[in-house]
Amino acid sequence: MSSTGGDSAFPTPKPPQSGVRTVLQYTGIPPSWLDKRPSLPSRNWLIFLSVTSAVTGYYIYDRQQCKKIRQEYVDQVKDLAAQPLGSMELPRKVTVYGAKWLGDEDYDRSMKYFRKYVKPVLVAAAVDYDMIKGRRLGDIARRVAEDIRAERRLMLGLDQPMTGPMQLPGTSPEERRRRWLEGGLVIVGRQTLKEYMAGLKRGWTEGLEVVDREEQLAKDLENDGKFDEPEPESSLDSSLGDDEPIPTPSRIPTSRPFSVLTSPTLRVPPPPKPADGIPPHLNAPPAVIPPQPPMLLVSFTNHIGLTQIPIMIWDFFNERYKVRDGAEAALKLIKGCTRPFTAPPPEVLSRAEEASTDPAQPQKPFLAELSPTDLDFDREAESYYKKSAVRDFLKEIEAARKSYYDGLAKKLETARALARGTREPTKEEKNYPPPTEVELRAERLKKELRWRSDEEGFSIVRPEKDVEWDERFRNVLKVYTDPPQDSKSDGAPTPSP
Amino acid sequence: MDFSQMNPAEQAHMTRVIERKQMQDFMRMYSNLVERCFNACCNDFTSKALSSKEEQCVLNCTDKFLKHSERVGARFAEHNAEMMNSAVQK
Repeated sequence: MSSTGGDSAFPTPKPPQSGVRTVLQYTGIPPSWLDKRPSLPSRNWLIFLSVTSAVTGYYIYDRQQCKKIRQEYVDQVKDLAAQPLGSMELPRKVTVYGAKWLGDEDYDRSMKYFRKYVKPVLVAAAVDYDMIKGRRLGDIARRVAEDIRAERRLMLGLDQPMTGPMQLPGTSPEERRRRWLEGGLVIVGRQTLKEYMAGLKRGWTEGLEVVDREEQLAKDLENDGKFDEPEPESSLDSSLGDDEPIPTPSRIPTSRPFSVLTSPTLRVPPPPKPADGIPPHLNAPPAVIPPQPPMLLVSFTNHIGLTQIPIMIWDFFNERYKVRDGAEAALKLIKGCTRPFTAPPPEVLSRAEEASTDPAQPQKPFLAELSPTDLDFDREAESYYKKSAVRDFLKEIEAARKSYYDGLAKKLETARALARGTREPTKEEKNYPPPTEVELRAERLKKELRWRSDEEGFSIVRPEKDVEWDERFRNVLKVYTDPPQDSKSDGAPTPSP
Repeated sequence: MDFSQMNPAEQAHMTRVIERKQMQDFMRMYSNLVERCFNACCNDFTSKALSSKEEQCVLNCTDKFLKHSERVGARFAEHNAEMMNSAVQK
């Protein structure tokens, strides 16, 4: 009797089945599935899945690390926020400066870096911050210079300090200055450092007259021949000096002094102090500068342009480095250990200055070859500027100016013809009246202001130019640094209330 | 308040008005404080007496409320002063 090869009536009994198969065979799963061996998906699927999961996994890993790093730094400082503060006391306040990156239309990027990477740690430590952005190149320099000049005027008694109806205990000028000194500054990026130092130097060097930039510019533009008539009225033009501020519409050819009319109506003018009202001994730049609050230098690079897209992608997947740098910087600020601002000794600086007075020449690598000082902070970030932006900045402004003035004569002609009534307005001119001469002047003032501020800002920020330095700054500036590594528990921190 | 331009009768009247307003304000603040502290501290009515925990809570509550009101007042005054300064400067 053979146990193999049965016939149709008596099929061979199947061998006893093991484990899972016995349970699952009655569930309705097709039996062929129960016999399959596990196998990998096809080659194409494998490629797809591995690439996708690698990319997603790296992204998730990076963001998890970011959170972890941030939490680690927050935990280090959050006890500071739980400390009691008297009801009449104020928390520490730092001032954050963020200038515009050359070539980027978005002026906010440096401030966004601050907000994303440095601010969380400051918030956890209950440190208040004041954010000052520069909308155009050179804005921060101007603002800092204005603030310093206002303070100088107050100190010398040329201006009266503003006192409200009641004097609060925390707001006397000495208190305010003390809090400002203890607060500290945050400078995001090399361009901000350049602008800040330029503003500082200007503020402590310039005279103290109150100068309204727009008015100054209006006066300069009046003497420009751009709004003159094309007819030969040179004799009349020269006879009218600048001492005729009131417009005389009866003298038809000349139309210069209108700009003086437009500006006063827009302001309520306090009578401007005459420039010669300030005695020269007060106006001179002081020889010694009072101590300045310590600075936190935060390195920042903005990547723009097609060629930097691979770097942008790398940054997107590796944000944890920026989180760590930002949090480290915030921790330095909170701990408060400072060191003096280092700059090359005066002989080196004067040598470098006389060697390269021509701004078109590239800066000789004098200073950088010596040991790096704080004036070389973040120099490598400048190599990331868009080359075309740096090269063409001034040329673009020139081209814009040229095209504007070329089109101006024609518009001026239309405006004057319509105003004097030598010509009836055409139908489309009735519907869309062309700009009058006053409007044209105002527009010109605005454009010139913008162009000149841009040019000035560019001359501060361009890569070939070094950070401005003045010998008076030498012992007055400080920089936040890491607390000393040897385990002195209270190293030498400046007190942070 | 501009006391230099009023004669003594008006001054006295103004002082009385101001005093009454201050009294009202004070009473309002007091009742607000009592309500808040009660809601925050006393949740267990199984006994009539104030336990020591509740006593401590009430102490903390009044302290914090008054300090808070002081600080809010200071910030408000600062803010007002700043606004007035900038209005004067303009």
